[in-house]
Amino acid sequence: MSDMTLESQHSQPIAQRRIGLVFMLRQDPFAFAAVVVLVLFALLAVLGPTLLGDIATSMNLRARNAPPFELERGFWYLLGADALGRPILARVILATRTTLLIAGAAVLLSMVVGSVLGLIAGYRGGFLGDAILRLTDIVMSFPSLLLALVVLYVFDPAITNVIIVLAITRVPIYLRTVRAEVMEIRSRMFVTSARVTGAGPVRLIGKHILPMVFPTIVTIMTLDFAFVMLAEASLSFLGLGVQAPNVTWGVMVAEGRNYLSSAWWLSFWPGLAIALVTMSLNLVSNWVRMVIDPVQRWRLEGKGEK
Amino acid sequence: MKKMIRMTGASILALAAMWPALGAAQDTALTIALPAEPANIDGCNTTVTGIGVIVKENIVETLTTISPEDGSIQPRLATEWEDIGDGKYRVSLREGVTFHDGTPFDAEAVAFSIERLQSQEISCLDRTKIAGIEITTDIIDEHTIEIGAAPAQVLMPTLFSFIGVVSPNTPTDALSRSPVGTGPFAFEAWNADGVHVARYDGYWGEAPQVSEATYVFRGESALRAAMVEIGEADIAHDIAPQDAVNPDIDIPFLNGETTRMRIVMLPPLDDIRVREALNLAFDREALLGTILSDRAQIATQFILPNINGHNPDLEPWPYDPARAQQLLDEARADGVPVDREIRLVGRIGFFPNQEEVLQAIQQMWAAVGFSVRLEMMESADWLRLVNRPYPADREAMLIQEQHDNNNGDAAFTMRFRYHTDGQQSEMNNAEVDRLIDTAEQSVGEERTLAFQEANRIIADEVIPAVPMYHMVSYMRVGSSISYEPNVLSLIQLELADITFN
Amino acid sequence: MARHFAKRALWSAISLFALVVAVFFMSRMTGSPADLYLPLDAPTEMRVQFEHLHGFDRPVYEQFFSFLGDLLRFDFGMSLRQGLPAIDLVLQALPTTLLLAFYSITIALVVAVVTGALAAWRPNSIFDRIATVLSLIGASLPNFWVAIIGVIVFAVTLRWVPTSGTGSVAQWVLPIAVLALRPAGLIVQVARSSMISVLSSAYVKTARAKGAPSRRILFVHALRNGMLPVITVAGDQAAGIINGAVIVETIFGFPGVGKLMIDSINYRDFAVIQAGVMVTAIAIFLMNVLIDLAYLGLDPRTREEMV
Repeated sequence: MSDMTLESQHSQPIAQRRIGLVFMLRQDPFAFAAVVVLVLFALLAVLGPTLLGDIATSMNLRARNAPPFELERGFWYLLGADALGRPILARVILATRTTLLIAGAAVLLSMVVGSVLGLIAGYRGGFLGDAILRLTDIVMSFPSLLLALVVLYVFDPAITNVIIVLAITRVPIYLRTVRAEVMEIRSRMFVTSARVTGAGPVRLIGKHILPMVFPTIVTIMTLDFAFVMLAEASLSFLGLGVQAPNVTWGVMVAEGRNYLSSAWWLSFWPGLAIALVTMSLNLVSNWVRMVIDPVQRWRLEGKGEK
Repeated sequence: MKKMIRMTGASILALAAMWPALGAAQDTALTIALPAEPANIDGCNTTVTGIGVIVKENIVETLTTISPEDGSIQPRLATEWEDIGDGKYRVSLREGVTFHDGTPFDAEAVAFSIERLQSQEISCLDRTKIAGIEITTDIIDEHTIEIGAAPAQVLMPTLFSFIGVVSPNTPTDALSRSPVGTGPFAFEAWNADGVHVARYDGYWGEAPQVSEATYVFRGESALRAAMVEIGEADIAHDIAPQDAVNPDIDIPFLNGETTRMRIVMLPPLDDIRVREALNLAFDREALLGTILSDRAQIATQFILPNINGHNPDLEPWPYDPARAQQLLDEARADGVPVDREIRLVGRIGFFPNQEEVLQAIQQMWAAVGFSVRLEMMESADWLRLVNRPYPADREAMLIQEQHDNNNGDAAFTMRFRYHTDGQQSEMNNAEVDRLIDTAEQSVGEERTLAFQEANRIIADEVIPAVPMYHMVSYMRVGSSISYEPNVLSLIQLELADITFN
Repeated sequence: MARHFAKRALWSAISLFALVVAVFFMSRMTGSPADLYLPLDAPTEMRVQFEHLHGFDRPVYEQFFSFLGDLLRFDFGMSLRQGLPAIDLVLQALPTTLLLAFYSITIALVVAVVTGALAAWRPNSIFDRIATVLSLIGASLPNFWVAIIGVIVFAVTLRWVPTSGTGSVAQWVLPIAVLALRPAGLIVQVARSSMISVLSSAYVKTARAKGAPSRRILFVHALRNGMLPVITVAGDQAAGIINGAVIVETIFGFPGVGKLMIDSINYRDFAVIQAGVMVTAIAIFLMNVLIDLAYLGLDPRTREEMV
């Protein structure tokens, strides 16, 4: 089923496919907007810190908690200022790179490790499968604060350690999801002929299992992105993670916590950035999935023909 | 399952118990919102912030108390005391006093409490205040006791204010979560809703207006403030400056805490010019009324003005970045590695908005050419840096500290932090050592002057720190009651001082 | 089946043991409780006495063996901070946390599965778009933010519910709503995604072609098959609440396991950490067993795999 899809797509001339993609993207305003947002944030991540200089880090106590949408302090103060009078707009931009780097690395790492282990546990089963599963039970029950403290005490508070701590705590969800799906698909495979016709495990996983598991995994990933960005902030407060003057959206949201009842904008804008990225990733992944899935593809193409 | 049913039962009971409180016309029951639930409320932990605020002089009374105004010693359970030499004091005890459990208060009870305080079976935190001192008792008669200290203590009457007297029926092998004392309020219950106390009818003194009180624990400053705003609580303790938006009910008070940054005097901070530059480049005024309350005071030393030994002649550091830069340049020219990165180590949870404060100071220092890296640390991690013995491979750094000397005398600060053998001292100054030694053994003016001179040398000649502020807390007090917070209110909030409007 | 569960129980016992060992040694890598329990200006002499009193001056392996010995008698030792048996503290806090987890996950599941299924029925429809945006916002809002804004809006401004506390039913509304939000947002997306796959599968298309009523196809055939990942994710979220509804418990003054654990970790109250991890682990293990049972119920074909 799904392997046929892939093959039929491969057989299309590449150029034609590319035109089709852009065309289809334009037809879906949500997906289009999402791609624009992601490209924008990617640009900010690459260029932001160099373009900003020290606008985002120099304090100005007279502008402390300055409200948004007042232009007399200049463009950078459009979104207001934080508790040290630093322009929030500039800080959101400054934080983009570190935020996306940490969250992206942590999510990818947990996804890859979790999925591989989940595939093994689901496909092989037996002793190894049991061992892997019980290991996730342990990880799920281990207090993440304790884990963070151990890392803090034993290792240096480097950003890679933050990524590892975050990734470890998120591995179980991918692992369990993939395993459950693999078991289900595998049992279905007994009924169908794939096994009988002598397909090897690699082919089986690649052609039958991954395409089925992938949409769910991607959905969880996009949502985990938001979670990881926020969780990272709590590590920063322990001293593990980014330290001033470096900043992330999660840290900004958390710093604004104490001002929620008096200056909502401190945590609102970075929170909005987190929500925007999460939402865009999700919309794009939904769209990509529809493009790949022939059963759904008509919805995009059909609209175009009208 | 049984547990759940029991719990639901308990909630229904609690709900039922709330009705009369809601309906009563002359309602003198209070709810007080505190930031954190204490581990225990034992009568031998009264000097600890979250515990003392509930227990001290409400449930458990001490032999003497310290006046929040001038630091003088006032009688409480002890009515009179007399130095009879040899480190001993003869103390007369108040008569006609009974514990909440009906046991009479007498010399036996005092001896019991002192023995319990020093017991090796439990870790009484008030022992910190009498560390290195052995206290002995001699019962003369029912209401007279001789209390001795080895080595002899000049400040004996002050030490009496750390001795909470608990009922002789208190367990000696465990800290108590249901203290029994002689105070105007008796402990009732400690459950999911908080700690409940009720007026004790057999109290020896004047009956307080408050009939009962519930202490609830809410970590969020904004939520505590909101509880008073909508009438769920009568007092919100320790709210952040940004939540103190209503001057009618949000009362600022010096809370007895002083903050500073300790300087680990290794290169480049071993050069006094560099330490001066740190002080000169820090615009202390700028943080007042912005990140910190405008009522906080700029500190010149680590003790408050009401403490004996505070030197009133010391001037706050001026803000002079040009001079700071000049000093740095001079030091650099002499080969001092002033461009080396210096760690500024903060500890989580000293006071509201502290990370902003540290970031602001970091920026001010960066402006004159210091390269300071801010690191926030969790308590245990931070503690590894502050206590002797210090690691051999120590580097220059700045350590954020906060200290409360609520005991009326500089002795509770000086040796520990400035004497060569002090556990958290960075100093090695013969003159300061001599002055501290002298002061500790003297009384009256001689004591005061010696401490003041030591503080002058420390501030002007050694500069082992960047003094910051005498801190302010805000208390939100509901409009139906009156309470005037004072310098002790963070560790001692007497319900008897609360009146109804 | 019986053999399967016997095997599972054995495995769980082994992993519980591994967990306890890991927690025992790892918690002791994070500093001495004396530093945290005693005041900042406590003299060294008091620290030494404190460590001696509680046996922290003994070699770690010796502490470990005496801990194991006590554990066999189901004795976790006394809480350092509170002076009460550690296990009692945990069991006291557990019902609150389990109830919070149960209510919030149940509500999240019901709301989210229905929403997700309807959204999947017609991807990119108006309903789908609205559901997607709302659920993504729900999933990306931090708990403390929702909690504090919730208090400001519903308790202070509208005065519908009390700000905090555990006494009455009204006091449970905000905490449960806050806790349900993120799981709900997540599950809507997972359910939607999984349902789209199922709806495009051959056998649903057959059912559609045969003219089965849409509602029946959606809520009976497809939902049943699309539930696998939903249950996995719901389980993960429930586990998260069981061992870490800290923010909600602290803000609203709910004395649950999350708050107890955070306090214990912050103060290095080892006995309570160990008891807490053990009890929450058992709860999470049992929940995972339930989840696996649910897999069986949903898809009889996995049964032969599990057994």
